[in-house]
Amino acid sequence: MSKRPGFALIALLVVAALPRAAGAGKVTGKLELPAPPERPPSATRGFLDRVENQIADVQKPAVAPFLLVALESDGAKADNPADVTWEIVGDSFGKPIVGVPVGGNLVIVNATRTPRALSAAEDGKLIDGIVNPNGQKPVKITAAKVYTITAANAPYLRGKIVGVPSTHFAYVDATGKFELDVPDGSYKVRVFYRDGWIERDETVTVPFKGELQLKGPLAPAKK
Amino acid sequence: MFWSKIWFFIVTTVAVVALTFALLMPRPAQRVLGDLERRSLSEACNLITILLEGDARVRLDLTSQFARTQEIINAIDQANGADKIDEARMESARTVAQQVLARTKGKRVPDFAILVDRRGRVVTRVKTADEKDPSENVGGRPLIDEALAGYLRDDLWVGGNNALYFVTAAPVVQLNYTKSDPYFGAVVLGHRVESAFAKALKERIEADVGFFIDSTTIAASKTVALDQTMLQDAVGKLSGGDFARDCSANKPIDLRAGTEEYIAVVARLPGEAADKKAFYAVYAPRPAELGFTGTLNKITKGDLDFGNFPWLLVGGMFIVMLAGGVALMLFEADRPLRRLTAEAVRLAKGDMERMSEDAHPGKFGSIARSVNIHIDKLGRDAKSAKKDLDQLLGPAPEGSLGTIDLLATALPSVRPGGPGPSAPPPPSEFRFNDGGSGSGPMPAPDARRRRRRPRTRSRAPARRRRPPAARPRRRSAAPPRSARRRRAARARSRSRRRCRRRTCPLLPRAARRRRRRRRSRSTTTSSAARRRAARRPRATARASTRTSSRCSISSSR
Repeated sequence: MSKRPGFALIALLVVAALPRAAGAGKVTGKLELPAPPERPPSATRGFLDRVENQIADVQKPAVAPFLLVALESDGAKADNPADVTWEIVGDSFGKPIVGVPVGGNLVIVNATRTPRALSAAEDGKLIDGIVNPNGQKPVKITAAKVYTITAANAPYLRGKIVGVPSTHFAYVDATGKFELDVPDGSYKVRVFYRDGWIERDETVTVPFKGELQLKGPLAPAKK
Repeated sequence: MFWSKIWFFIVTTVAVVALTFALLMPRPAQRVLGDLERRSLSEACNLITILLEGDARVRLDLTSQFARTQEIINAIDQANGADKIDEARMESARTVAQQVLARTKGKRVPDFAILVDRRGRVVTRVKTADEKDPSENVGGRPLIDEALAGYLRDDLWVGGNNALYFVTAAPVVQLNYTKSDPYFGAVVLGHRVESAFAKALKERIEADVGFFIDSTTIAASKTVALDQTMLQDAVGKLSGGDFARDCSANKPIDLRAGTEEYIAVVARLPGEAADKKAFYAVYAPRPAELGFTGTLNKITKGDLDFGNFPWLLVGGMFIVMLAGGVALMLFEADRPLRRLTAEAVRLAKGDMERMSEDAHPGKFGSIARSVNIHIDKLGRDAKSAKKDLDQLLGPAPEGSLGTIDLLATALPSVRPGGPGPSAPPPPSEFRFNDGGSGSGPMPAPDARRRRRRPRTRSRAPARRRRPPAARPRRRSAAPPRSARRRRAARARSRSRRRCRRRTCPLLPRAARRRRRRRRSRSTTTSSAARRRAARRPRATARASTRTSSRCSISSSR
């Protein structure tokens, strides 16, 4: 019996020490969302201009679906990144932007009843062929670039694939909050908004306690 | 005669010009009619745009009412709470929507309805071809996204089998909703564009209307196979984002549909259908070209009324032309001819030796001159014949008249073949122009000579008035040289006189004009006075001595 408590203690210590040995930590933060832009003019005007309803205020365009937060470390390389799924629903993508680790696969799923002939404006060879209804199309992302995806037979279907040079990235919710599980280390915080990466100075060191507050304007990065 | 000829030319020219105008006038009139037709067609096209906008407002009101129905709000609210919209839920929502649609009043009853929840999922479909299909997300279409955001708007969709729909969407908003998001979803109502709709539009604009997607006719008020190539070309030329200006921006085009000819104006249809090259055309038959005979056939009795037709002007013109023609004929042809005739009668009667050339203008003067030349020739021939006879027969005896007397006595009193009719002397009231049929035989030549002689003497100088017996005998021998010279001088001066008048073509034009003017001034003077005046030496005559001599030579010839 005397050995059992010792064994149990050792086992407990080992279990407790395991995560620490892996060096993983959770980074939570909140991104200050930019003011929603004015709703652009209608892409397809009918005989009349659109009219606001008289019962409630018109909803502002959502900003959060267009934001992506990534943590990049200099020496770290993504090994065997997991596949990312991107769904087509109706005449739009499930998310307007989708982040894919460089070297990873993006699986485009057509959840509509119409075949979609997708293409990337920046690289004509990125997506080959038509995505059939309820079919899938794997796309290999090999560069940290932004691809604009459109469909020939759906003029309003439009989305962006963001090649992220890291496996550590997350989307923000409607309030701007995000959460990332990353190994210990020092990371540079990068934010993608609509068309490109935003230049920011923040770094985060994992393990990180508290909530990372990302404030300030979301100005596009200087090239 | 000159002005008569000019008048004839003027009348002919006026007639030709009038005929040219008559043949030409229908063309510009036709062109104006075509332009008016084109303009009215463009206006009809603009009117169609206005009517379609008005129809969109009606449909938008209808959709808004539909979206505010409590049963619809409840059906969508229930769907929002479900993770998955199954067939049962769709069926129950469909029943509700059909009941609400059945209560819809007015002419624009929708052809289909779609209920969408807050996330863009289809809650149910009513009267669509795929209404039994499972739910799907229809987010992403601008109409639905903006309706979910709170806007009311319209659009044009192209469905299966190239069906064109006017669609309207409205947000489903809960009144007095306490939760954060009052938006429950959206409803979409669609109206199919059919020929009945096109016919209803035609009644308003009095021109045919057709709706097309690319080269396919979707609906038309009149079934005609319009030339799609020309329609497509016209649509292809349209540019700019404001489709409402298409009717004014493009010109009407000429089209053929089989054997019929049309004028058409095209305008693009907005919305999602624009991506499918949807457009509409307003067209009407091209006005037929009437031409001259067609225009004549269209003349009505009212067109010839005094109020509509310038009869006074036309009548006045006719009278003026007629009077002008008659007057010119009278002054230039009739009167001079009458004058010439009268003078010829006087000449024939022996009232005058020669015709007065200056009294007759133009061709009549030429006739008079020709007659005078002939008279001169006859005189010369008679003299030479007498001279020959004198030479043959010798000089005449004392107291006789010479060869003439001999000739007179030598003439046989009886005609060959029997004695001639006894010719009584002509009555004292005899006139030359009396008809020969009822007035007896012509007077004998000696009688004529007797009658003519006194008149000749009256014009001859006083020397000739002496009785023949007292006259010195000159004919017994060859005439003295001085007499011959005098005669030659008289003939020369006569020719010179003639040449001094306007008829001599070799005289300068100014001189001829001056003489003509002078002569017209002295028309009332007697011929003797004129002759005297002609004998007076004139500077111009002297200046043209050479010309006169030429003239005399030519006239003597």
